[in-house]
Amino acid sequence: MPIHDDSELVRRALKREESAFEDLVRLYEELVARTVYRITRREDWVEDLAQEVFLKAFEGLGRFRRSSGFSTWLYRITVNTSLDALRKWGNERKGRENMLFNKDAIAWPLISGEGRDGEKIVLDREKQSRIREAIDAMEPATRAILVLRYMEELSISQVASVLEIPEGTARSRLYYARIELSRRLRPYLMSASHRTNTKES
Amino acid sequence: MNCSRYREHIAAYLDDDLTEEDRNSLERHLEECSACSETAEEMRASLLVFRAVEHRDSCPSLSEVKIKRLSAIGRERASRRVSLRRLAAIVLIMAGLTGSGILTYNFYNGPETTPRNPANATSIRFQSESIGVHIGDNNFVLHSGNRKDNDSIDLRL
Repeated sequence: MPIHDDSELVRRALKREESAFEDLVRLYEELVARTVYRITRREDWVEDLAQEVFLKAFEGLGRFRRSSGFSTWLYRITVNTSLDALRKWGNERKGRENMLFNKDAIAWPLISGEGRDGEKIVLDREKQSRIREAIDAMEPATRAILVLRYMEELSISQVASVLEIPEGTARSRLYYARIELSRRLRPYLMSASHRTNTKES
Repeated sequence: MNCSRYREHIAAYLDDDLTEEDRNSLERHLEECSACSETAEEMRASLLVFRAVEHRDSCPSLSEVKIKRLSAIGRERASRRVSLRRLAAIVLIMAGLTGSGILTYNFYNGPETTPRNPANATSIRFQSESIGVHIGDNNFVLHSGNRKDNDSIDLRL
């Protein structure tokens, strides 16, 4: 995910130019919605949380330190808002599990991916469902760092900046997140990494 | 051979985020250590699967109506924020002028508080312990906790 040069837009917003706010929302709505969804895994939360994120950003524009970059700052607000929402909702976790994990009825498309050296993976629908469950069962903060680094493709220094932690700490958390991911996906890894030409079941 | 030291480098190695020296060192270790090699393979494969599953899910986006509404609310909130900060700055200046102490606020009418020159519809009175603003028939007085009869300065507007 490229970090946009948005200083001009922010400058215009600080002057309260009407079009600047809309331009900022249009530029970043996808980033915010995508990140909220990937961390919370709640599609029905996305609009409300995205609104919360943008309002916090606009209200805090005066405090925004330009050195960190607007998108980094917005990622920070998005991650914190998403994790806060999950924390508040923690008491209803049982309901969440029912909603998130009952996905057998969904007609999932065939998963395919490509790794290093063009290695292809193909997973059948049943495994996709189990793997999704395993990923969703990870701690939200652990999933968040994986999302920032590997789905949003932020560098380690950008991840550290978003989470407001030193780079060394970011590396360490990422390492443990990957250990955790490996542990949870271990039952499926043999089929994922070696069944390179599995046909759709 | 210290496997734990090498293992902490595996994630960075798989991300091509190691110095050449560390990478060479880890690669030599991976050739010799089957446990670390297996850990590296698991990490690599699990990330591959993670990415594939995440990419498969289409992420929602905001509706056009929501974008317009957010832009309008954002503008309002940002403006309100600026106004509140200006108000806070004015209060702080006034507090500074009235000296230390707990500020209280009075609003009253009557002959007792009528300015010395009623012909002036609006006036501001600075005293060592208070600020009085006179507008029409109303007096607003912002004063510190300890009121004293001190010299005052009147500004006629």
